[in-house]
Amino acid sequence: MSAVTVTGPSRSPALVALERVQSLLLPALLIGEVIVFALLSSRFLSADNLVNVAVNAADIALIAAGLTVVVLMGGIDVSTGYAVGLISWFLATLMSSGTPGALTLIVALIGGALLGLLNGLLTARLSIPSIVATLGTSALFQTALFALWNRRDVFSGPVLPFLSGSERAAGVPLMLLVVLVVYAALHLVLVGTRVGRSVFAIGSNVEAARLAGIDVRRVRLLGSLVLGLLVGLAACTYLARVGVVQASSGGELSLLAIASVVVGGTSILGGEGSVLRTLGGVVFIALLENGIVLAGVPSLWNGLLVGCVILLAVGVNGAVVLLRRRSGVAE
Amino acid sequence: MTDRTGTVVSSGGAPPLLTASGITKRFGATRALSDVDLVVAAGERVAIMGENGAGKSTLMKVLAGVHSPDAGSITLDGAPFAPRSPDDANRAGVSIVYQEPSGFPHLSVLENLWMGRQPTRRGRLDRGAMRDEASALLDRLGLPARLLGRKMGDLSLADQQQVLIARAISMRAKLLILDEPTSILTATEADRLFALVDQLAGEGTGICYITHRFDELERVADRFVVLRDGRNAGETHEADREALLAMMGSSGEIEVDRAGHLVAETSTTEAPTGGHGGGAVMLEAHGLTAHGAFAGVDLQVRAGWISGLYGLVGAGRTELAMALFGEHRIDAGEVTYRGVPYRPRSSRDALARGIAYLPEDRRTQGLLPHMTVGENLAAASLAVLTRFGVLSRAREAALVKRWSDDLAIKAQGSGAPITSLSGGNQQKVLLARLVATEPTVLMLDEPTRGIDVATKSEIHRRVRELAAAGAAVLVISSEMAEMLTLADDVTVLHEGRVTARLSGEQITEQAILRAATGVAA
Amino acid sequence: MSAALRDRRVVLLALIAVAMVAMSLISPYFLNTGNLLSLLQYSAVIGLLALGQTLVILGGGGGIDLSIGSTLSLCSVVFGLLAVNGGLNPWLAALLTLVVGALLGLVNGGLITGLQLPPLIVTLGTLYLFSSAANVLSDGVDINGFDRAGFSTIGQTSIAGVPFQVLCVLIPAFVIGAFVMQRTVFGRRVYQVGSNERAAGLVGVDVKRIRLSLYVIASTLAAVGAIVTASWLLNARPTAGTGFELQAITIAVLGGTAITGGTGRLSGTFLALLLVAVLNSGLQLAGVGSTYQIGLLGAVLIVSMLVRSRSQTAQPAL
Repeated sequence: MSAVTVTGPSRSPALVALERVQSLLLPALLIGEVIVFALLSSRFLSADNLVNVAVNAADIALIAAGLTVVVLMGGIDVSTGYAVGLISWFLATLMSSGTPGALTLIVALIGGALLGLLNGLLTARLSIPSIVATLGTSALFQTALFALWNRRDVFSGPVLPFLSGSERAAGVPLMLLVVLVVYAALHLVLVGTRVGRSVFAIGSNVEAARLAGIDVRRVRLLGSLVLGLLVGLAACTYLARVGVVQASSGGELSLLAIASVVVGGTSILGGEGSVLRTLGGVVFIALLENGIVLAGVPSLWNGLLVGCVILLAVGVNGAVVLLRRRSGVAE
Repeated sequence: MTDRTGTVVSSGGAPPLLTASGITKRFGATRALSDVDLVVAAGERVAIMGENGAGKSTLMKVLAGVHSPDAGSITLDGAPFAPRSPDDANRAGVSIVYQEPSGFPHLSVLENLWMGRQPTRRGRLDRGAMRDEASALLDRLGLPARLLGRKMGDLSLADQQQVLIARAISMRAKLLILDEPTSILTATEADRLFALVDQLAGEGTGICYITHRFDELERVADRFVVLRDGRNAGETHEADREALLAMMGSSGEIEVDRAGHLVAETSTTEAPTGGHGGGAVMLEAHGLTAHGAFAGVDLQVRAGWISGLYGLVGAGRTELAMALFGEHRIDAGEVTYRGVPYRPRSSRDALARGIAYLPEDRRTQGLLPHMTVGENLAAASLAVLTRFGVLSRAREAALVKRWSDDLAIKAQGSGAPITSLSGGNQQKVLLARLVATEPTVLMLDEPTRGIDVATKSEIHRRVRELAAAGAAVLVISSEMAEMLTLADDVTVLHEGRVTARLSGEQITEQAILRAATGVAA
Repeated sequence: MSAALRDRRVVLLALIAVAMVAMSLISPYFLNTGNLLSLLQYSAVIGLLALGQTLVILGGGGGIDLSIGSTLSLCSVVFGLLAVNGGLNPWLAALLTLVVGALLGLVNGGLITGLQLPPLIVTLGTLYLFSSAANVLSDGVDINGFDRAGFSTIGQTSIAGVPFQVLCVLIPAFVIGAFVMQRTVFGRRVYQVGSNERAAGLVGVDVKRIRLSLYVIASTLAAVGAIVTASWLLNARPTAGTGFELQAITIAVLGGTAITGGTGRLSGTFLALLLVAVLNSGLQLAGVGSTYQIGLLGAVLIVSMLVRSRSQTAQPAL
């Protein structure tokens, strides 16, 4: 399309306002949410409850952190839930046979890395669209779990104490610290290293990234690996939370992790976003699920609110893009 | 007329920066480059010229590591140079900046400058160093340092282009290739670019500059290398238009004549429609305005007449045609169709009235790449091939046969995938798609861009026949030759405004170019 | 790679043939026609969803409908509420359910085409929305008490050994769908839009309207699936369609529909469905649970994509 030169594109007031809405949407929703639930339930803001929320959200938080890296590059992964389920089966089995926790943790990380690399191989190396590839692997993981489960639930305690909610320092569960360390590290890498910036470059314009000498396939593979490792870690916290592995354990996590990333405001088309925003998305959804229960609303309403928030977040995003296009700002 | 002066080594007798010799490149059956030579000295500004399809871009892409040549060798600074990728070429000191800027729209200018080779300290980006060096660079190039923090996607195309040039410079480019850089720029922006190019050349960078614009030749180049049909056609140090046009003129006699007495030539042998002013006014625009694209445009398209609409890329010609076709916003002005007020709302609207439009970019706007030749050809005619929404295969086949015969489309049956055709035949299919709707007004946007000479003249002949048969034709082109051979009258746009209306003897290259570049008459 | 192999349908036919030979070796009853057609009984609902999904994906622009399973759940609950709790005539209840299905599709399609939002995210949002709405409306419990006399026609009768839902719902849906896609202007428009939306727009296609109608069709088919399921099982569950979305996408892609749109045929989707049905029944014969079907599906999907990406790298793109 031949474009007319627009020198110094002017942003309409509506666009500026909407962009502000876009950047403030999540903080505003979070604050609103906290106020509403605090008014509805006196227990909501208690330290106990908040710690409880944090512990329960750890697995989603870890998956969503890794998923953000993949989404930033324009990819997606719908297999994370059953990957968690599958790995936790192994963990639970190992634990119940008396394997030391540290060793089990290593197995979790290796297992996660392998599953992540499988996805990375299919998408980055063999160029299968990520939605299709991970649909396929999700089905494989689900079935593998089902086969291994073989009508026998496996019960297990936490892999390591610090990966459960019970071990705390000054009232703060160590698990929460693990999650925060992961987010901080990932954030620093994405913002402050060459490979981190390459992630954004690939999501913004793959062709230009290639021209800039970035090894696109390797960075993509690396992204899948990081997600895999975090999925392995998430399997540990998942197991600590639920205590039992069943036929379809973990399945519900896949879409919830995607929802957290999207609500956080990372663009599903890649190039724009951050893990910190994702953390916001995770917190929002976790507080929502908890607050609803405390407020005495049947948890059946959960999905309704999560769905509305996803649509709201993506809707504002879409309106900004539309306005931007209309006012002639190059995308 | 191969006045090939290939012995010119370089301007100053200095050792050449880059020597390419015997470069040959094939794409499938077509030979894009045959045995082409090119020498560039340090600090020299070389304009690479030639008609569309002459091989300019292919040659530059070979130098920039995008294509690897099938034969021939290149040396850079005396050493063999065989880049395997654009990145390879960049590191060796050959950078290319394309017509359409392509950076990272979501990232800051600073990041765009450094992407892929950011300085680090113990693994972490050294932002201080990045910023310092980048501001020094922008400063040197006369660009404002405040750009650094802005998002690339928020900049104007001109600024984005400057950023990409700055990026190339910061990579210590020894040879900088600019592919029609001014086509998206306004006159002032272009002046800024020229100043930048001069400065770089002064500092010893070799420049290869692809251009179609004669008016900027003297400004941008010390030497002019002309390609024709993928071969060296000559070179000169003089920005002599006549001589350059003669070199560029492809195999046809028409073109060579055109450089001399084009109008006389075309009107005797090739312009059956001319001379009587055409028939009724079919489509007329009055004071048509779309902010940011074109303003106050008056235009008439007459039955049995070929009107030309000329303008450089970015002049607003495509937007104007799109507006008449109902696919571009109109802010003010009137359009009448057959004398009745008409507000084009959508392409469906326009097509239903008999107004057809051949889009500028075959690949992105015309082809339906997953579909067959027949399905592509019939795409705009479905309404007449159906009863109650059900397609009649027999009638579709008849329509496809009729028009593919009519345009002599070479394909292995109408069921062949459209992508299996050559560019020229694809273009014929798209033209057939329009003609099959039996329109009264035909708007053809760059009807022969990037196709071979033989097909080009076939299409030109067919367009004349259509006009002779009573169609009102508007040919939109940035190609001078097309205006001179086809148009009965020419309207010239410059930065969205009509700067000239020429007919008959007035249609000369000089007059058109002067108006198109905004030089006062 | 020969042209025949590049047509996914040939590959699928071969796979089906191999699977059937293998099954008939395991069990002599397998090739009995009654058995063959009843194979499809379990796949009828997922087949309807895959049909809708194929259309949505064909329309391009990143088209995908993750909410299709939730749509089925919600329609199922609506049907149950109308027919059981509301005591409406079953046919009237079915008709109203179809309308609700179409409206849900309108929500998806409207957000996607109107605001130009990415389909993946919009339908992820409505996935939550619709399934939660199903739970809320039904209080999270099954609706039982369908009047056996009124509903069992759809779900439980068979004509000449062929289950009603296969003969009168699934097969007609695919036949009509294939006719529409191959022989009507609408079908041609869908392919045009999926192939190159810009070019389609310039030959007079209303791209948004075409895409919008695809989402409406997909959701309406999900409503049909809800009616069939409820009439078959004589209950309406708020989780009736959970997990179906991924299966439907998998079958569509397995059938040769390119996830980027523009390429694919309903006959391919049907063959993929058939393959899944055959494998499924084979797994049953082998005495293995039906969950294995999903894994097999995933494996076949990945392998088929590998074959595709191989054959694509062999020939230059475009």
